[in-house]
Amino acid sequence: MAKTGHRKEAFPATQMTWINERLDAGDQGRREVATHLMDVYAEPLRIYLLGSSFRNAGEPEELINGFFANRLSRDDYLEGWRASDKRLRRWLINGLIFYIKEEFRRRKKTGTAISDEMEADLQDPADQYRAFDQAWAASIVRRAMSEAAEVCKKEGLEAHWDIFVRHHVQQQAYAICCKEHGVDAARAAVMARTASSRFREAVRSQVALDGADETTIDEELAGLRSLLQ
Amino acid sequence: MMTTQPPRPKHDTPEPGGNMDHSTVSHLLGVATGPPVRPADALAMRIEGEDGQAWAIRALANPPIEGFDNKDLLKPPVNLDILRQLHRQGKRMFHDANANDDQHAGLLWYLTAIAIAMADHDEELSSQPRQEVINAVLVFADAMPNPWRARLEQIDG
Repeated sequence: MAKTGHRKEAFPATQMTWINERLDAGDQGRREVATHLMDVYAEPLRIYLLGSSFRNAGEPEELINGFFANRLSRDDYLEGWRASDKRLRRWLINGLIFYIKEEFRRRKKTGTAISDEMEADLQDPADQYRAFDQAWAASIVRRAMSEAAEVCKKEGLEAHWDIFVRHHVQQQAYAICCKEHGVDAARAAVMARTASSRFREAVRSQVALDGADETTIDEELAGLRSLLQ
Repeated sequence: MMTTQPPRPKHDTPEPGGNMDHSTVSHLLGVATGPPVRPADALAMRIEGEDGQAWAIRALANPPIEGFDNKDLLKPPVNLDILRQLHRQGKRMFHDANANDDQHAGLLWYLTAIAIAMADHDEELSSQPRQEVINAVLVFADAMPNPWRARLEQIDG
């Protein structure tokens, strides 16, 4: 079982430090942050748009790509988030709504305005945050699973990860999933626990990147779980 | 934990990036919630951390009994009186420790002595429930390098 220092590299100890350092590092760092934002938040934003009164405002992918291109090209956009004390996902939703409204105004000026009826219908109802948060929760879990799988592979823990997925995603009992790996159920439980620690770290890193500090991560996770019930 | 969640649909292929229903996402977020609370978990995390295995080997090379050679632990059966002393001294180290690593080292010796006593003599040095003790040993054994890992896992033989 080869143990390496990969975990530290994959999951920076202080996520806000990671994001702050990149924002302070100039263009290259800002690009890394932008890539992260698009990877993690584009799909939840698309789901939010489809469930909101903005669903008729245009192709969701085009709006979201336009939003990221517009806002992330501004030096002060993420600085505004850092100073705002808001969760990153809330900052991005609000930014998207403002961006869409700006687009409407721009279209009016250029003579391609949307209908008055549609504009009157444009609201940002709070209950649509629920759909976004549900999609965001799924997004961070998927990303954390990919990261944890990679870390387990690097550490020679492929069997551990396989048992974790079979048990926690496929709902196989340890007594079943242990057989393929030639271990008993108790040993399988321990192996899954080892993989769980990698997954746990990856999930918490994702929540921290959204702006939560260590003392509020459990609260955030509990809030997300309640939305999924 | 598995019994507190509603049933989740089974999937044919464990695809980390695949679509997951809300119930599965909620369950996985639950896995990520809360700190590991048991001392054995904390010890495992210490060993899994940077240079952790080297630290564990150093700790085992520094027994709490003067003159004892830790290589003897790898040659079963180990004298039961020696294991009782290691268990007692490890427990003392754990409780008297001022630094985290000293506490981890105490627990390392405590659990190692318990594991080998159970493996070699079927003797329970701890008053805790047998299965709990076995699970605690397996948790930290999983993080150890061989030959220690294999030796400790004999507790579950």
